[in-house]
Amino acid sequence: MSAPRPLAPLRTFAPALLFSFRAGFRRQVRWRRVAGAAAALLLLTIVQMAIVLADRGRHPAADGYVLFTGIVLLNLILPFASLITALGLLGGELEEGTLVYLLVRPCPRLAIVLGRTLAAAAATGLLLVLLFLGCLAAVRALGALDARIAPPMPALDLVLHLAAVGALGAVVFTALYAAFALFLKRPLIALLLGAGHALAWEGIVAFLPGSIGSYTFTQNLHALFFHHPAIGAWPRRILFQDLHAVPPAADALVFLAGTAVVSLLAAWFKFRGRQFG
Amino acid sequence: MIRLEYLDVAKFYGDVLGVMGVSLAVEPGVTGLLGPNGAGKSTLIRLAAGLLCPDQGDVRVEGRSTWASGRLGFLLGYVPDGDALPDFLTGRAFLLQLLRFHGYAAREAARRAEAALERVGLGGVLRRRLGGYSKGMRQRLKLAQALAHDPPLLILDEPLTGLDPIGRRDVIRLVRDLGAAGRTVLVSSHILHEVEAMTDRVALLRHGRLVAAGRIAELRSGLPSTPYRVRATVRDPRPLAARLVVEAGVAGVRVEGTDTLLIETAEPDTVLAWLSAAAARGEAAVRTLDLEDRDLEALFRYTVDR
Repeated sequence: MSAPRPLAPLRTFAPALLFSFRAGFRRQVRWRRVAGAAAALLLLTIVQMAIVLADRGRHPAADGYVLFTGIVLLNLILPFASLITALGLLGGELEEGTLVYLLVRPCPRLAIVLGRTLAAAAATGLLLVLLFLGCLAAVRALGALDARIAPPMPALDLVLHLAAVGALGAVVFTALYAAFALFLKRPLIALLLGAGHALAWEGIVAFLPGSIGSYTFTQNLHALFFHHPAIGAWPRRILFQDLHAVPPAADALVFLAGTAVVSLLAAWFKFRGRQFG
Repeated sequence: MIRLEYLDVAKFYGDVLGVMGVSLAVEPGVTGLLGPNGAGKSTLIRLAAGLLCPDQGDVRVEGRSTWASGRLGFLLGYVPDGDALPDFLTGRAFLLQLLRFHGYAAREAARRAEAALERVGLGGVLRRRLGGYSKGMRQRLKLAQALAHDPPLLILDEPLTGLDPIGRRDVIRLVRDLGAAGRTVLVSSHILHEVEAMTDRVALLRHGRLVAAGRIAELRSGLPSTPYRVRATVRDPRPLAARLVVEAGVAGVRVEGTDTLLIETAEPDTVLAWLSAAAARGEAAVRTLDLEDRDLEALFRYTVDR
């Protein structure tokens, strides 16, 4: 019997990443939980839509409900949905003990963290898609009640653009909140810090006038979202934010990708040194 | 041949002692890790599996620390004590995924997965989802995933939990075979006679400290302050008791009921020979002779359960 030869880390990285993603996604996506979260967040979305509509004195269908719903989801729901999924990223599995089968293998811990983060982001994305469809149905129903308003059908490339921005946002928020969860031992503290970030930084600072908002994920996601030429003529303002004053798309992309990478590396660094007893 | 070494290891959980001052060499073959709840068995197991980092000392495999060792994953087969498994996968798919981490190509991984499942008696359910496995089947699967990549070092935390009597017998036989084949196997259990069926080499823990390690018979004979007990059933025990108390090596004799003698001695073989000779000469009507505490249970009682 001879001892097995070690493999190059890259050879084990891809299978570890795939397994970690798959197991993480299956764990996150338990349909009752998703349905419950979607229902609760749908109410939040509708409340936020009502606030924004009151501010603008308009009917959602009049401006194009796809854009309207998309921006509402990016503004408030994405951070909270990410927070919910990111906080359960690894903690639950450590308690249950399923992660131990990966930890005792020649399996890079970066692959575990990355796989789980992407899985949580995918679960957030799924939640957002359900919410998006729910909101579209609600707005269409409203539009149908008023014969003068004919809701425009979304163009496919616009929907794909929205989905891409949402996916990037889900990864960025999830990576940050996963780092919170790994650095802070108590889940409640991580939840409070994450909720504080989502509400205060992303919910208020992002909409303040001045350049400070350019350091928020929300404003940078707006920058990417409104970069699409088809959206050029759409309203210039949501609450306090001038949507055309957001950072250039390239800067926004660098900021978001950079933050995601730094958050992931921090989470990996913490996870590497973590003991499981 | 792999050697696992604990070198003056201490581990604390905050202010709570996990283990302290443990030095132990686990050689090829099977070594049983025994101790009551909270003695530190699981801490030692997790230190060996590289899941915990010692606060003092070191745990080494092939001269390298187990903590954060990338190489350990290739050498180690680990059966955790928990029951959690990814229930959405089939037994075959689970093993297949884990084998891919070791760099096996898909076909070789499939062959190994199926062979490991056959070996633990799960050949008939390899395409069933783990959520539908019974507790005993889950236990067997945990063993299969530890064996599938043929590791030279196996660390088994309570591997008999949840198994029915046939399953226990099979696993005991399997563990014995692995030890005989030259694997280094460290197995923890609460059930003394089952550990004794797997191995005669044990490490006993109490309150986080190693109180004894070695072969059961050698450890037992090294406890002169705790004499052996010989139980004899004879027709008329009192005269025999009177003769025995003056024999060399007999520490005490007690008559129980109408036909039983309980003899305490540091030299059980001498006493057994004396009684056999007396019976042969017709001086004592001895019906049965039983040396009660030469086994692991007695060793455990005298060293751990004091």
